[in-house]
Amino acid sequence: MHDFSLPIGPVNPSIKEPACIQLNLDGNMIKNAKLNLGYAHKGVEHLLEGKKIEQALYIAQRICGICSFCHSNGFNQSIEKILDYDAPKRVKYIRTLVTELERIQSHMLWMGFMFHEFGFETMFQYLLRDREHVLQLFERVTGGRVHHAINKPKTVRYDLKKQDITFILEKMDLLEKQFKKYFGIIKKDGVTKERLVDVGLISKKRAKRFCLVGPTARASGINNDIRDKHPYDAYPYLDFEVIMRKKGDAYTRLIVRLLEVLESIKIIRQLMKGLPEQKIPEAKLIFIEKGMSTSQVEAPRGENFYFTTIKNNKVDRAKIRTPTFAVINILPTLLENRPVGDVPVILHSLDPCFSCMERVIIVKDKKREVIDEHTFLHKYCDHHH
Amino acid sequence: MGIKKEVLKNLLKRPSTSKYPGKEIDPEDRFRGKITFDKKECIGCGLCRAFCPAECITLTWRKKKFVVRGVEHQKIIHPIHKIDIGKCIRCGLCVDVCPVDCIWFTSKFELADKDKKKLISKM
Repeated sequence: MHDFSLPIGPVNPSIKEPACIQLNLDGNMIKNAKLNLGYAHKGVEHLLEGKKIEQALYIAQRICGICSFCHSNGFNQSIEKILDYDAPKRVKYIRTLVTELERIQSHMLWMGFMFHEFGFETMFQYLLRDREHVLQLFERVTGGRVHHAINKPKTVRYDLKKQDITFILEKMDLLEKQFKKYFGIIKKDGVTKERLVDVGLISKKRAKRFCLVGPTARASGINNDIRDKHPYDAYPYLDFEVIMRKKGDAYTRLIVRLLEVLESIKIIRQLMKGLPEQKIPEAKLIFIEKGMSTSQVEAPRGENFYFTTIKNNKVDRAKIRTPTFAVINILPTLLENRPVGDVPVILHSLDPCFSCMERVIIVKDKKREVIDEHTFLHKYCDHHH
Repeated sequence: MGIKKEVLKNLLKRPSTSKYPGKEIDPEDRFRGKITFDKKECIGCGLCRAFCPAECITLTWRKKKFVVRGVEHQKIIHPIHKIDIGKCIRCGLCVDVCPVDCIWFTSKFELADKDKKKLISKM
């Protein structure tokens, strides 16, 4: 048998984003694989430098189209940490509501395209049809279907109206009914099981070695949910369960995400029930002379990490670690000894998003400087409180 | 069995999509669509341009006459001139920051055009 090298991409490698997967084949089986990134680099971290805090908040939310609120929330949280400010409870509840709605929307889109990858077009259409309900909610609550722009430093842009709450609860009932139906279909369907069970297996040990995050790690039995480990916003007041499974194949990842949607619906019901009657503060311009902080939020795909330094009310440096970048590194090892037909399923089961994972590391003169927090404070923020 | 039930149900249902270009769609109240402004009301403070993260607002200049103790004076102010809708990210900072509320969101969302120059909104 001849050996072949097969490049997939960089134009639309089964998903609608640019990346190149180079496969070395032995017949139909993949011997080894290599992932080439760098086709969608936008330079967002550099774009943030030198911008005012209010401006940077809205540039940060443009990093990703699907988890846009989580990016703005991560940046906002680091700003509020520098200011030592605790937002009112109602503001926290509204932020958590948008986060959870975003999780539902993201998981539905992922699930739809997962079915699309192996040709279950009917489920794909059903899921995208039902996703429209969540987008309608977004349009009514935040004013934007994709980029919500509801966050502001210390507050939120819009308050929830009484008719909004009933509208949200109606839609949640509808979604829960549909999802229970879909759960039954996925459990019984033969094609789904044939294509997903034992494909892309990640053991717990391997998941720890590759530092996986989010639902991908939770499907392998690692609890790294930021909502549970380091609760932020309204999560300390809520009662919810972290969905975990042990097996770690593509089918388990599907089940984990599906159950997470049902859990999110439960959380939203709790939020609407316990929404405190308060006036949300008016947005005012803020001023920070110097400061540094970090923040973590749980985006639909996993942990979203922000490191921000501010100088003279402008962003000096923003380092962002997106969950997709943490997850994609395991892809070449998963593809080994699998047939070529499994590439779309394995790639998509990791929930990749190339527009938010593209980062650049600069090594100047082959020197690496390791900085701990103490030396950083002395070197760059000498008057830090 | 679940999928067969759903298919049979959909045979009797009306389509969930609407015939879009023929039928008009009403966005919600809070929808952030195309940005418009009133040039006459603008006092030329320049806050909108200073705060725009996408740098899509351009200012112009105009002479403004005013009378103090019967003597006519002139001064130059810089009111808002045009907004590049192609660059605008609809964050709403200019709307929030404007002291005289002369910039606002409309519910217009059909903004795609083949010509880039047509995306610039002037008054």
